Amino acid sequence: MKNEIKDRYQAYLKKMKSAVLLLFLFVKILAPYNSLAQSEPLVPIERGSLLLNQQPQVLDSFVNNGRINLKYVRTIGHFLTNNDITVYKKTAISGRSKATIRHIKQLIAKQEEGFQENLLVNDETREIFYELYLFNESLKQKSLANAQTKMSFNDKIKMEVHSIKSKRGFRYKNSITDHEAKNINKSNLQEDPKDSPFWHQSIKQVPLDKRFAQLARSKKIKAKKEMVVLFDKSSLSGSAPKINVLDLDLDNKWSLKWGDEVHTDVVGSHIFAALGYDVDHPYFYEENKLTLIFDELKEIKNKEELKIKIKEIYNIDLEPFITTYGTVTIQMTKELADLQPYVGKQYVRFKKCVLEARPDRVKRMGSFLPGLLSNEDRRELRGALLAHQFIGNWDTREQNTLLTTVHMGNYKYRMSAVFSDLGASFGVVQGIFPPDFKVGLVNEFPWEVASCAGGKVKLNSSINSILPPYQQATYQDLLWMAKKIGELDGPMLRNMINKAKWPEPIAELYFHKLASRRASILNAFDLTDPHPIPFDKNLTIKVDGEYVVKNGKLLIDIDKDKNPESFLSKKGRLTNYGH
Amino acid sequence: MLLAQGTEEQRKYVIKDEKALLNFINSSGQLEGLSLYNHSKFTYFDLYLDTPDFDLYKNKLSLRFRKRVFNDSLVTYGLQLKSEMETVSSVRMEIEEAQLDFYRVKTDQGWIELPKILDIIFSQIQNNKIDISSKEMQYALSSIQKWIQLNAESTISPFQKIAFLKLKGLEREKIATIRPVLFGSEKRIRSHIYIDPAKTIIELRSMPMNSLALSAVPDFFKKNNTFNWILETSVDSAVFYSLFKTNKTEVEIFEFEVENKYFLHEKGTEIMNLFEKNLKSNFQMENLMDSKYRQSIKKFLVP
Repeated sequence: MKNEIKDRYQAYLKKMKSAVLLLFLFVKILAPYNSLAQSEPLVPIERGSLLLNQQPQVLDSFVNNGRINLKYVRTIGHFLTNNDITVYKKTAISGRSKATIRHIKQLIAKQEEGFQENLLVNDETREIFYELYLFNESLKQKSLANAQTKMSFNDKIKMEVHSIKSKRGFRYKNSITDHEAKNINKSNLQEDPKDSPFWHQSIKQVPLDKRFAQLARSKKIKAKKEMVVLFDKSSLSGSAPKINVLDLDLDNKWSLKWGDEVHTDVVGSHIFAALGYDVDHPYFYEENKLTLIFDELKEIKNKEELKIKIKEIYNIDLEPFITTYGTVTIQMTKELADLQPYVGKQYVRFKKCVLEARPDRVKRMGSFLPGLLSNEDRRELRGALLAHQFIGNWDTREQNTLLTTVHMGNYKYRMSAVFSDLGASFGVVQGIFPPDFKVGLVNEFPWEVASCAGGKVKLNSSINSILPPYQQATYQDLLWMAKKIGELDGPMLRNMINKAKWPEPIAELYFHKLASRRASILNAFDLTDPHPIPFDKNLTIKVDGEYVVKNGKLLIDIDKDKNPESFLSKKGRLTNYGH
Repeated sequence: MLLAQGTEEQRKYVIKDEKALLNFINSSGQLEGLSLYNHSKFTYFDLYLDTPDFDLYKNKLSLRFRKRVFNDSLVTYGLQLKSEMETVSSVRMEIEEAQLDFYRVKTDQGWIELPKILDIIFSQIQNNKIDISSKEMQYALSSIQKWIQLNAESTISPFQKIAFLKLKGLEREKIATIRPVLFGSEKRIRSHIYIDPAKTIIELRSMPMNSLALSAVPDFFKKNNTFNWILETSVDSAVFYSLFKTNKTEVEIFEFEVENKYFLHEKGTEIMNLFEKNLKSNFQMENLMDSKYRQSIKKFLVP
């Protein structure tokens, strides 16, 4: 019987391989790297509305006798735009970009006119109050966060407490809360929120799995199949090794990362984008598909110095991730024309890495303030809890949310809230003795994430920060997100997983696990699946006669040499991936 | 030396031998390993502002609305605050409100964009019909003054800077009294100064290539990617008209400017020194420190 299943699975796999080959040819020939054909008209993304049913009290300061309180508006405007205001609460202010300043000035100019017209405060002025307040608080948050370079002991304890609490605490009874009864039309409890800087409804012209590419195009992100980037500066943030690099146009920047998040960040971001959120834009690069060029005038001048710096900051040996290095030759430029101006410069190439866009069109400020300005009341933010659960994202801290200004061209801007750094997902383990952290371990990624018992839906994925919207999330909010997850069909899921370029058996195992997790969510919320995706919890894959995946478990550390972070070892970034 | 945001390293010269200089520029000549490429003709229209007591002038500052016309097509508007040079090679502060399109003035005819009001003033120069007392001109000048009064405490960068500097006579309430005092236009012939590895001296050939964002690189260097852009020059020929009572009706200015564009500023300064040495010996130039505004006001205020 077992052999019969195995044979059937082998036949299925063979069919799948043919289908994947056909798809690959289509992608190679017809579709560009960003997968939303550049010739297709770009569907513009509008800002949407920030207004809530009940205006938060903190916005009252913007109003004086029903009219614009210009003095207050200007105070906020100066804080956000005046580069001579350099300190907030004894910390240096950082994050005012030219584009953000210009955007804020446009908002202030509208308020100045409204004041001169002696206008009564209306929805249009209120939209600006919301936006100014969010930018103001976000700049303060960023300045204070930048001043705190190391995580405090209290923060570490808080993370542990939230991790434990979240594992046990996410239980939801099918009921309507008093708040919902008061604020939402009972006849349509599952109504989508309005488009807002926090979330956008899907549109017919853009399939869900292409929303990542649509966002990328709107931000003018141009990730090529083979990239040449220039070293800019080292990075001190986060625990995964990374550096800041420049695009060859020197206008756009990227963050170049190595380690265990290189696959997970890509899929996590695609899935969040498919569900309606704005995200970071990470792109996976396979062996030797990215060339990092060094400039002798910069802080790091060659591969050796890069290794030393990464070791110094992250205590990680980069050597196992490196393939070739040396001096760019004329021969190399024949294979890759982008290298032409860099003949004679030092370069290094890698076994694998991820390049995350920092486009000139997008200016980052601080967090999007999930706990301020009644943001915890927003269904789109409450529902995001289930999206995190779906991909098993553990690192849900506020610092992984971003408020951004997107330049839409012609000096028109829109505010957008971004779910950033979604890579601590798809199977996360933490070590205590010694302290360690590893993500993307497929065997640690449970087959199910939601269940229903005793009339309560239970979620089982732990998160390190139960932000106010997640704390406030209700059954109805999660049901709403469950429906969104249900809209993802099999081909979409597969397309998004393919972007991560995991070795084939691992990608296949993740596909089955995500399909299973999706089904568990729909079952728990008693939803009829609009696009049932078959999955096999006993998935078994043999390569060259050897079991690679057996009964739904990865057995072999595939291509260990090409994947130095390992897909099986639990040794993570704090123990140098066991090297 | 690091150049802070909102500063520029610039030198100015009085030209003694105008003809020789223009010949040199028009022929895209060479000076001691440095090549020159004359690339554009710009026309600038300026409206200078000051308090009734010329407190900006007294504090060695100038504030102007500037309309830039690039090669008879692209037009931009800005409001610029600049400091005077303290020495012949010092760095000038420059704070610009670079986007004026979304600022509007409330008039009897409704809300009108600030650039449209400025155009009423500048059209007199374009049409060569200077009539300060004309109804249109007075309407435009009072509209500008009104905009300044209402926005003096708003988020306009030059106003923010003036308030921050806390200078005598330029207290916050005095900013609202700033009004137009001069207007004029300027023809500017701009040239790139660069190193052509095929036509330079050994010392300059080894200089690292300038490193700038692609959006800041002129087309000439995109097409000729072995040329190393170091400096930018302009020959300026300007005429200004007074908007206050004075014996003179207009002032003419002819000067040469050089600006450091090199990413390693200290190295760029060295090249500026070399270039200056050659300019002085070939075209009998002399250093100049006063801005066009300062030169004009000095001339207008002479009894």
